[in-house]
Parts: sequence; C-alpha cells; structure tokens
Amino acid sequence: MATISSRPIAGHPHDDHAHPSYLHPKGGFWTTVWDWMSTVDHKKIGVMYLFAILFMFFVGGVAALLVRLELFTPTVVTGGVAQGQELASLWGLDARNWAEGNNVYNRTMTLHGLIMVFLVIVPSVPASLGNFLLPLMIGAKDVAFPRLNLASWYVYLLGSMFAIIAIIMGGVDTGWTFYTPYSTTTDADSLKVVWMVLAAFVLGFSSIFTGLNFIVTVHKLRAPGMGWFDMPLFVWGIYGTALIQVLATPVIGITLLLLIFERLFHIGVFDPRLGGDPVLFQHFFWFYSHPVVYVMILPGMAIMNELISGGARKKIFGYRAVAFSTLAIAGISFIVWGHHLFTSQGEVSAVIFSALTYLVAIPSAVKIFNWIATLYKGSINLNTPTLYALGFLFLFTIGGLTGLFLGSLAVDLHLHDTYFVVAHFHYVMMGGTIIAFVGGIHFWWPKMFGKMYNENWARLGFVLVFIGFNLTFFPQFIMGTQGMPRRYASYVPEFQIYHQLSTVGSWVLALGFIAHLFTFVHSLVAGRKADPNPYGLLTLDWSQTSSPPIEHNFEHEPVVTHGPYDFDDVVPPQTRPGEFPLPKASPDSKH
Amino acid sequence: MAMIDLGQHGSGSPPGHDHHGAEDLSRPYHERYHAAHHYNDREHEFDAVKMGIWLFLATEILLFSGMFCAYAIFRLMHPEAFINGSHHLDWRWGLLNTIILLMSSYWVAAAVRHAQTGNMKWLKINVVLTFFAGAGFLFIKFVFEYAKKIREGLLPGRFYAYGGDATPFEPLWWGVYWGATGIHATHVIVGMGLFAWIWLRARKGHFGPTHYTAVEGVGLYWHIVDIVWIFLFPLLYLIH
Amino acid sequence: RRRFKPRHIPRFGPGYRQGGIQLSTTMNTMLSLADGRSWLHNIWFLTRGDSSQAADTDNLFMFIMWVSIITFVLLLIPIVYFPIKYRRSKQATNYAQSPAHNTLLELTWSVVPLMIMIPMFFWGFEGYISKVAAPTDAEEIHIRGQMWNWTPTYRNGANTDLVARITESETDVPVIYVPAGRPVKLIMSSSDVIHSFFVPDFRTKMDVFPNRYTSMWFQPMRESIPGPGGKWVNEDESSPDFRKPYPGTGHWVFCAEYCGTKHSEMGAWMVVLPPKEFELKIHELATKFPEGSWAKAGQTLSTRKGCFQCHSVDGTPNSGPTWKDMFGATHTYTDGDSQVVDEDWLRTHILYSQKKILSGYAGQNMPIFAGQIKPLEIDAIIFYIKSLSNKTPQAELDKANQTPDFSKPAE
Ligand code: HEA
Ligand code: HEA
Ligand code: CUA
Ligand SMILES: [Cu+2]
Repeated sequence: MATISSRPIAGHPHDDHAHPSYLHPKGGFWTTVWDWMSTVDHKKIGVMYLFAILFMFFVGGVAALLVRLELFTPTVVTGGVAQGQELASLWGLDARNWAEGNNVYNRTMTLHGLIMVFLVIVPSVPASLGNFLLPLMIGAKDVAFPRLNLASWYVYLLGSMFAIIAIIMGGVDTGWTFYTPYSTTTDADSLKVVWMVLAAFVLGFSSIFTGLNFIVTVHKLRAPGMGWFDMPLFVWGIYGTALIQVLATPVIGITLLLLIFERLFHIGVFDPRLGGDPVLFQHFFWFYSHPVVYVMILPGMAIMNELISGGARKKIFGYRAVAFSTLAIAGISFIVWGHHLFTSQGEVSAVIFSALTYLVAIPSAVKIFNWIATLYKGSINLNTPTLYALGFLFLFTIGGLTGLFLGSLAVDLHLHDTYFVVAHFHYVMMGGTIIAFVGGIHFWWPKMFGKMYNENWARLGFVLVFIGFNLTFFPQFIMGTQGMPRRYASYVPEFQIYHQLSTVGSWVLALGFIAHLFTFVHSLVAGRKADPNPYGLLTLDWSQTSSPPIEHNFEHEPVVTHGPYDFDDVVPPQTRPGEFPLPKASPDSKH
Repeated sequence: MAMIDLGQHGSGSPPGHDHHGAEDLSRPYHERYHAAHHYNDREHEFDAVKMGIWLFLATEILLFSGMFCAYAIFRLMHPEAFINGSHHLDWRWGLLNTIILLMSSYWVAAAVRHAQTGNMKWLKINVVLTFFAGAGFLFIKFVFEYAKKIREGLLPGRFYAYGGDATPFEPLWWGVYWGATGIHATHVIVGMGLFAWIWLRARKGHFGPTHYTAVEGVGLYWHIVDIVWIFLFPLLYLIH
Repeated sequence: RRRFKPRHIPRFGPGYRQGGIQLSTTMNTMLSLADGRSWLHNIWFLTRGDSSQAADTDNLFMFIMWVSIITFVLLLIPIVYFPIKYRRSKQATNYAQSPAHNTLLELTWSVVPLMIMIPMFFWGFEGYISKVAAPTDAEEIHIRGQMWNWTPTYRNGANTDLVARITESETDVPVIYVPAGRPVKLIMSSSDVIHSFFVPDFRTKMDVFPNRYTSMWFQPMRESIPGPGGKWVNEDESSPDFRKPYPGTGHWVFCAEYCGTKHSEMGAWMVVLPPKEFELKIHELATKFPEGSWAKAGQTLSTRKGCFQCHSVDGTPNSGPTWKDMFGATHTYTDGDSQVVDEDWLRTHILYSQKKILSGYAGQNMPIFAGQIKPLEIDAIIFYIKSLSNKTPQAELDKANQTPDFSKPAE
C-alpha cells in the first residue's frame, strides 16, 4: 500500500492559513486585469491561451462553414445568374463575376487552413492544457522559465495580430502551404502575404519558447522521487512534442525568412527563372511541416493516456511501450517529409520516403493497441471525456489507416491533392487532436475552474460532433478517390451529392460545438462546485491540489512514492463505485 | 536532491522586494540573490538556465544549418555563378575579420573565467574588449565590404545592378551572400547588445563565483556566432 | 469496340500481388458478391481505371482498403464491447488487476502491422516505377500549363482546335486527343507557377513546373464513344449545356496543384481515338486551312509554320527581319543592290529564302518552303504581312480583312 508523503515548503509566505485559489481576484477590477496581463503563473497563462485558442478555433470554424457553404453547389449559371458563388453574394460581390467569386473562396479556404494550423492546433494542447498541467503533474511550482512563458503568450498575440492585419488587408490566397512561385508572385502589389508569412514566422518563436520551457521543466523540476517512468504519460507526450517543436521550428523560420526576401527583393532562391528551385521550398516547408503534424497529434495522444486510464481507472497497459513510442514518433517524423512530394518529380528518393512513412505508422499503432488493452477489465465511466476518448480511437484509426493509402506511392499519384487527402488530415487533426482536446477540456474543466459542467449537455454535444464529423468528412474520401481535387472553388456536377452531404454534416458539427459552448458558459455561471479529485485519480494534479489549485499549486511539496497509474496498489479490487479510498495529502508527514 | 538554502524563499527579484523585507545590503548582490521561488536553490536554477541556453543554441545552429543547406544546393546547381561571384570578395578582409572574431572568442572565454574567479575588473575589461571586437568586425564588414558591393551594384535579386559581365544566376549568389552574412551580422549586433548588458550588470556587481550564468550563456552564444563565421569565411571567400 | 492488350504493367512477378487481389476477391465472394472487383470498387471509383496501370492501382487500392476494413472492424469490436461490459456500474463484479504489460503480445502487435505494410509499400513502389518510366516507343505530346489553361502540342506541331467548358465560368478548356492502345507520354512544362496534370480515370498525375520538364505516361485502354452526331462536345449555341462535353465521351483532366484564381477552371477533356483516327485528326489539325479573314488565317498559318521564331510583328529585332512595315519598304542585300518589298518579292523569298540574303542577316538561313507550303497558304501569309505595314494601300488592307471565299479561285 503506497502512500504519498510530503513536507511543507520551507519559508512559504503565511503558511498558517489555507491559500486562495489562483483564480481568486487580486483586488479591484483593474488590479485583477493587470495581474492577469502581467502574470507569470503557468496556470493563468494556460487559461488565457485556452480562451484565445478556442476563440481562434471558432473563427477558423466559421471560415470552414463558409467554405462548405460555397461548395454546396457546383458553379452553375442559369439565366445568366450564377448560383454556387454563395460567398461572393454573401460578401455583396457580383455573383456573376467568376474571378471575384473564386478569389473570395480561395481566401476563405486559405484563411481557414492558416488559422487552424498556426493559431489553433499547433499551440492548442501544449500551450493551454500543457501549460496548466505539466507543472501540476510533475509536482513543480511553475515551469522552468515563467517569464519566457509569458513572453511566448505575448508573441502568440503578436503573431495573431500580424495574421489579422493580413486578413484586414483582404486576406491571402496562397493556401496554407505557401508554395512558390505562386506565393511569391500573387498580390504582387501588396504586403498582405508578407504579413501572413511574418505571422507564421513569429508564431514559430512562440512555439519554440513553449517547447524549450517544457523540456527544461521536465528535466529539472520533477518532484523528489519522480523518475522518468513515474511521470504521467501526458508529460511524456508533451515532452516529445516539445522536442519536435524546438528542433523543427527553426528550419521553417529560415524558410519563411527566405520566402519574405524572395517576395520583397526577388533574391530568386525559389524562383526557377532566377536560377532558384521551387521544389527546394517544398522540401524546406515539409521538413518542418511533417514533424509538425506530429506536434499536432502527440499532445492529443498525451491527453488520450489520461482520459483512458482515468476513465477506466486502470493502469495504462505497457507504460514503457507507450512512452518510447512517443519518442519513436518524434524521431522518425523528421525523415518522412518527402511523402508530400511524391508527385513533384519521378524521384527515386520517393521510394525511401514511402518506406519510412510506413515505419512511422507503427508507434501510432502501438499506442492504439495499448489503449484498447487498458480498457480490458477496467471500471469504465462513460462520462463525456471517456466518450471523447472512444471517439478518438474510432476517428484517428480511420485517419491513420487512410494515411497508409497515401503512403503507397502508386496510389498517392492518384490521391495526391484530392479530397482524399483533405479527409485524411481532418480525420487525424480534427478527429484526432481536436477531439482529444475537447475531451481533455471537459476532463480537466473541474480542476481548471473548480466547477462541474452539465454531463447531459456535454454528452449531447459529443453525439452531434461525432455524427456531424463523420457526415462531413467521410464523403470526402469517396469524392477524393473519384478525382475531386482540393482547393477547388467550383467543381464538375458529378461530385455534387458528396459535397452536399459534407456541407450538411458541417452544420450538424456546428450545432455540436454550440452545445459545448453552452455547456461551458453554463458551468462557469451556474456550475456546481467541484471537489479536488472528482474522478479519484492518482496523478499529482488530481491527488495533491485543490480545485482550482492555489497560486503556488501545492500546499506541500509532494514527494512521489508510486507510479501515476498504480490503481491496483492503492485500490483494493471489489470496491463499489465511488468507494475509492483517495490518497489525501497529509501535512503532518515527515520533512 | 540537495536541500540547501531552504531557509529563504526567493522570488528571483533583486533584493529589497524580498518577502523577508529588510536585508543586509552590504553583502554583494550575487550572494544575496535568491533562486526564483519554484527552484530549490541557486544551483538548481542555474542548472535549468544553462540547459535552456543550450537548447536555444541548438535552435540557432539549426537555423544556420538550414542556410548552409541552401548554400550547398545552389552551389551544386550553379557552380560557375558561385565561383565568379566569390571572386568579387576580398579574402583579406574576410581573414582579418576571422582573426578578430577568434580573438574575441578568447576574450569572452577569459571573461567567463574571471567571472568564476570573481575577478570583476578583468571580467569588465574582457567584456569591453569583446564588445569592441564585434564593433570592429561590423566596421570592416560595412565600410570595406558592404559599401563597396553597394557601390558596384553587387546586390541581391532585384537590386542587382552590376555593370561588368557576370555569369547567369550571379544575382542568386549575391542573394545567398547577403542573406548569410546579413543574418550573421544581425547576430553580431545582438551579441554586442548582450555584452553591453553584461558590462552594466558587472558594474552593479551582479556577478561572482556563485552567480555568473548570464556571462556564461552570452559567452556560449558568442562562440556560436564565431563558429558560424568560421564556416562562412571559407565557403564564401575561399572556395573557388 | 476493340479492347487493347495492356502493356508495360510490371509482370505479376511476386506472389503477393495475386495474394492481394485474391484477398479482395475472397472478401467480395465471402460477402456473396459476384464479381471480384465491382461492388466496393464501384462505390470508391465510379469508373473502372481506364489505363493499363490504372487497373493495377485499383487492385492495390482495394487491397489496402480491405486490410484497413478488416483491421478497423477487429479494433472496433473491443472499442464498443469493453465500455459496455466493463462499465463503472459493474465495477464490483468486473474490476480486476491485469498485467501491466505483456511483452509477447506487444511484440506481436508491433510486428504484424509491419508485415502487413510491407506488400503495401512494395506494390506501390512497383506501380510507381511503372507510372514514371515511360516506354521508348510512346506517342509524345507536349503539354504547356499556364494560368489557367492547358495547351497540347502534337508531334507534328499541331495544337488543338476544339474547346470545352469544365464549369460554366467563361474559361474554355481544350479537348486533348490521344491514341487508344498506345503508350502516350506527356512532356510537360509551365509558363508561370506550378500546376499538376491530373487524369482521374487514368489514376495518375504529375506536377508541372516552370523552367523545367516533367513527364508522365499512360496507355489508354478504351476508345471513347462519341456523343450525338459523332461529336465530343455540345456545339449547339442554343442548348443550355453549350460547350459542355457529352458525358462519357472522354476523360476529365484537372489541375491538381493550387495555382490561383481559376485553379478550379483549369481542366481539359481528354478524348481517346482509335490510332488511325488519331493520326488523321492531328494531321487535319496541322494542315486544315484556318478560319477567319485572310490576314487572320495568315497569322494562324505563320504560327503553325513557326515563322515567329525569327520574325517579329512589332518591330523588335530578331534573327529575321521584322514584318512590321516590311511590305513596301526598300531592302538592301548583302551584295549591295536593293529592292522594294512587294507581293512576288515576298512569294519568292518565302519559297526560296536562300536566293538572295538581306544585309545584316547573313548566316541566318531560313528554311526553304518550296513544296512545304500551299499557294493558298502563301497568299494568306502575304495578306497578313501586308496587314502589318503602314505602306499598304487601303484596297489591299480591305481584301486582307475579307474572309476567303473558295467558291472562286483566289487571285
Ligand atoms: C495530426 C496530423 C497528422 C497525422 C497524425 C498524420 C498521420 C499520417 N499521415 Fe498524414 N497528413 C497530415 C496530417 C497528419 N497525418 C496533413 C495535414 C496532411 C496534408 C498536408 C497538406 O497537403 O495540406 C497529410 C498528408 C499526408 C500525406 C501526403 C498526401 C499527399 O498530399 O499526397 C501522406 C502520405 O504518405 C500522409 C501519411 C500519413 C501516415 C502514414 C500517417 C501515420 O502516422 C498514421 C499512423 C496511424 C495508423 C496507421 C492508425 C492506427 C494503427 C492501427 C489501427 C494499427 C493497424 C495498422 C495496420 C494494420 C497497418 N499524410
Ligand atoms: C486543426 C485543423 C483543422 C480543423 C479543426 C478543421 C476543421 C474543419 N475543416 Fe478544414 N482544413 C484544415 C485544417 C482544419 N480544418 C487545413 C490545414 C486545410 C487545408 C487548407 C489548404 O488547402 O490550404 C483545411 C481545408 C479544408 C477544406 C478543403 C478546402 C479546399 O481544399 O478547397 C474543407 C472543405 O470542406 C474544410 C472543412 C472543414 C470543416 C467543415 C471543419 C469543421 O470541423 C469545423 C468545425 C468547427 C466549427 C463548425 C466551428 C464551431 C463553432 C461554432 C460554429 C460556434 C457558433 C458560432 C457562430 C455561428 C458565430 N477544411
Ligand atoms: Cu493550374 Cu491549378
Ligand atoms: Cu506528412
């Protein structure tokens, strides 16, 4: 029977009475506002990130809804009047002017992609939940460099501002991949594209700061007694992510810099006419952007570990396998970028990249299998977080398996840049990361805000999202296979039926998210108070902190004496639901 | 884990703002300094800071290696343009700058050692020397090299206005040259700023045998800047 | 309609390939579905792959599809079953300690997927090679992509005549003719940004770059069936789908690399002709007397004959004298004496350019067109050159702008 002993933190200000939660206002309104703006508390920064990212997700999502609206009809002219230029008419433009209509579409589509990637999914989990939970989970009082953490938050805001400037100037139409020479020649008379590229560049720094901070935190600030394999797997996931962030982002940095030079000074590095090479840009871009897709998924998988073990209240099956698979994914992710360039030239290197692509699938497979094995003989609580975890297993597996089609050279020559690819990456990014993210938000909501949410509304939200998601994106696999290219503002009528299914799906999806929006707001204003450890879990964030945690996280610096998932040790079998004896922090224990 | 200093709860803030209020200001700063509250002690904090610095340097190296990649690829694509282009560079200035940076490297190393041994006077002297080495480097680069190129119109891309005969794609070479040296020069300028900061703190007596991480970090940064130049010099000036 | 013997698909060497196809077939028959390839295949691809490699690609796709379906179903069972069986309310009866890990089990589920993936990779690799390495005897067609159009140029220099519409935007897209049953190699380049030539029915695409040539090839397996009136495209102005290709008379070509405003209108309609008809077609395209006025026809012909490689029409100097204001001007020869450029000066110099060389153009030998060009064509070109000169009398200009009337022989 393991216990958690702990000792008081020496010299802690006013040790005698209990401390207020980190949410407790510091004084009058403006004092509080300033306190938040200038805070170095990882929890506050995490919460600010969370709301910024959710907001950006909604913006990107609304853009997505517009994209779907446009695609509801192929462009058809009847009686000289264009239908199928929904966006153009929505923007009050002449719907008969195809160029205008297409431009509006291309800009909306690019806007959606850029926001979702650079402003939502890359920072999403690490910067919000990661920031909030990482120190709690390893028993630290803060991240290694709190000021750097705050800096990364303001850099994120700066980057978003640049993006917004570009959008106000009319938006860019490069596609999120900025392929040259198009990106260096479009809108030649304006600085829009430069602003947008600058935004991506700046956001890169925010991501580097966060990653660097987390690596050092995990290395140096683990609580006494917490070895590498006593860390919750969430921490492992975030750690792997941080490694990729730090090692891959500088490369996109120099690439985007060159892109800007190219645009402003025509230095010609990517312009074939001047002796440059557009394919070189693609190599540089994907050398960053493939690893980044694992920056997107690893945190999602990190959350999955906690949702699964917490939902089934069971030790993760094959802890070490899961931990190492994280590192394996991080490592291999650096050598598969070429699978985005199969159609660029008939290169032999493509063969190697194809092989490596299959290799990188294995660690993901391992994780999936381990999670399913973890459910076996568990005590599964079908609350919203667990539902989302199961949803992840369903959707990510589809997304991953379709990745195997794309990894197969001959098949990719057909599927490349079709809606099959679009569907693939929505199944992994939306169906993987975002689903896990939303699940995670529900899971740690009580911890973050000390309030419970309404389970039934949340469940309803999940059902709508799950159905809507599949309805939106599954048809895209089929039309992609039939040859529907991506980034098309108009299309041949053959594909209309699938597009219409997809559009209807996106509406259901939106309803689902509105339901969640409602749940969260309702919980904040009218939610019932949450107790410190509502699920009865053993990781420090639950077992050792109040909900919400105090400013310095722990009343007593925890000393870890058992693994994060050792339910079997502390929980006698045959206990009734809710009867889990929860290890309580005992102030009196030895120093 | 060592548990020294548990007595005092540091805030990382300079003395005076300390929770324990009044404090004997006669003791030098570096002895009064408390680790930030989430560290056990100073060693613990400096450890972390050092690791952070190393990671940051790793990103710097990656950034430059991206640039060297580009150089290599374009050199393979247009060797003649690169060779002819490099003929416009005067290797003597390059060599002089290399020597200057190497000396500065020595001085910065010395500065770190003096910080460790608590020899403030020589710490400051070496920092100043390094600062002026950087200044000298930039002076040569701008006055004797950039200025000449600008006059001759040996500029990247659309500013390229060279009168004499040039191989095709030479503007590309100049793009690479200005890009590489430009980014490097920016790093030198930043470095000089950092040394100014170190010098100010040294004057306030912030450093001492137990408290020199900042000096060490800036020193490491400066070494990277040097190493990058050590690569740039032969690649740009010497290989024909 | 004749079917053709597929060529250049990799031999069914390694057994894994039949194995893969076998899997699809058995799965279909197991699910009591007759034809080995059709039903699920038809959900995913409306059409059967229409080129020799397309069939192979489809087989590979269906193999991966079946592997994925089986894997997915096998995983779905516990994903659905466990949460119900081991739900919290049944904890007291179910909850049990279980091994933290099981090396054998974990090894199995790491190695088995790897094994399954090896054929996927290998098959895809062979298919890829067969798609990029074109046979030497292939019919070569040059494709130029520019925002936002494709321009085919056939071996005899002919371009396409017929245009279609991919959507109802104003953009016209060309009809591209290819011979059935023969390997066709496309040699592609772009004049602006990156495009990508995508023929869904042939299951292949290749990016098209500026200042660089990429190539792809395919062997169309079936001749296209012409629509009403033997036409490929609806050419009746009154009809609502004017310019729309008749469904099933060919294959869509899309641009698959994002290239800006009309990326989605940048397509083509690819028609597969029997080899003989193909030869006739491109010969006709190359030789048919062009539409429009004499001058217009002359311009088109000059393009076909490649005159503009040396002669400019706006006065810019080139390896041949410019045609601007040429007619009526006085030209001096290398040997000193000079002559005014009039109609038969032009005729003789087009036919026998080497007879007398203009000063300044020594060594620039223009081809001899005698026997290469028909009298009518010469007339048209001469009319065109006249129309470019400010010294041409008005009467001549008017004639140049009339459309030729072949009922009476041209003077
Ligand atoms: C979260 C992000 C994410 C993730 C995790 C992945 C995961 C994978 N991706 Fe994906 N991908 C993207 C995001 C992502 N991708 C994006 C954004 C693009 C498009 C970019 C653009 O062009 O705009 C893209 C494009 C893309 C391409 C290029 C397509 C093209 O443009 O032509 C390819 C090709 O190989 C590919 C492959 C894979 C593979 C093999 C995996 C693997 O890691 C998947 C591994 C998982 C599994 C395999 C499922 C679980 C395993 C099992 C259930 C065990 C059973 C398995 C077997 C029996 C084999 N992806
Ligand atoms: C994290 C990444 C992410 C996420 C979550 C999404 C989410 C969605 N995406 Fe996509 N998408 C990309 C990343 C992402 N996307 C990328 C990278 C591209 C490529 C861009 C390119 O080609 O350059 C792309 C491209 C892309 C396309 C292809 C465009 C084209 O190629 O022409 C489509 C088309 O259907 C699409 C649709 C959607 C839809 C319907 C959702 C939905 O899931 C959205 C769900 C969210 C909402 C519905 C908002 C929820 C909130 C509300 C609605 C609240 C109510 C508020 C109000 C109504 C004010 N996305
Ligand atoms: Cu051309 Cu897209
Ligand atoms: Cu990838």
